[in-house]
Amino acid sequence: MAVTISKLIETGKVYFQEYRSRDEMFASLAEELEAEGYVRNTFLQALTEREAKYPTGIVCSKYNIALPHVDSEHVKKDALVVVVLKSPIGFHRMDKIEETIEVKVVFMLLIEEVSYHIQAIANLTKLWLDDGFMEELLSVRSKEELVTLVKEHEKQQAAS
Amino acid sequence: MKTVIIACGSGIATSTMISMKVDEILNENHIPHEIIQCSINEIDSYEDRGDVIVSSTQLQGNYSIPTVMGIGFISGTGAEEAEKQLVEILKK
Repeated sequence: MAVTISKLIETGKVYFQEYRSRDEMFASLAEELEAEGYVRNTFLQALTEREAKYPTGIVCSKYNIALPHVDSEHVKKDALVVVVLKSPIGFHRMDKIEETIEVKVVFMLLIEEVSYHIQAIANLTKLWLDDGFMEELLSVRSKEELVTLVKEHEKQQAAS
Repeated sequence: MKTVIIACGSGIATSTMISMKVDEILNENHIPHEIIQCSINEIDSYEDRGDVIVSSTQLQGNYSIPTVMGIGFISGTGAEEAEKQLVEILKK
């Protein structure tokens, strides 16, 4: 049975938050995710170094997203963490690293077992390539609502 | 048979996303191919075997084979252009 994005969100976390900066968000998320057993204590440093070397901001048609992630050795539990930011924060662009963009939604992939999740990782792009989904994502108010929204989306994709 | 090297920071996340799309495009264009997925640091060791490099991040080094910026395959913006570029390189 293939792992789906909705399953990864169910095991993960969804935040509707305001952060002053990317670093503040990373520190806050790392602390919580470590306390809840998602990641190891090396996570924050790995994430920060990784983002500095290979930034993950992506310019999308509706609004910009970021995809921060680390190698599996820093992760303890497979999950997707989604952060819908009340006000956008700056990330460097993946394809033009000296350029900063304002990011509205962060998809943080926590993957411990890569081979098992290839399809899910690939499917994640289908979510943000869909303008309708991206618009609805901003009106979601809870993790349950997001899981339902993603499930609907997955059902549509399976049918098409 | 064409060999496409697909690279990102780790060789895992964004390169997986790009690989799926590239595979689809090359199948549609009837271009027989294999895909090597790797991290940016590993490109050097596969370069000799490849026909083209598709990457999700800005490449710093100089390579002996053509390169395509593949961010469009993930972001949607500029996807058509990247697709055209890739197919042109591989049809030569």
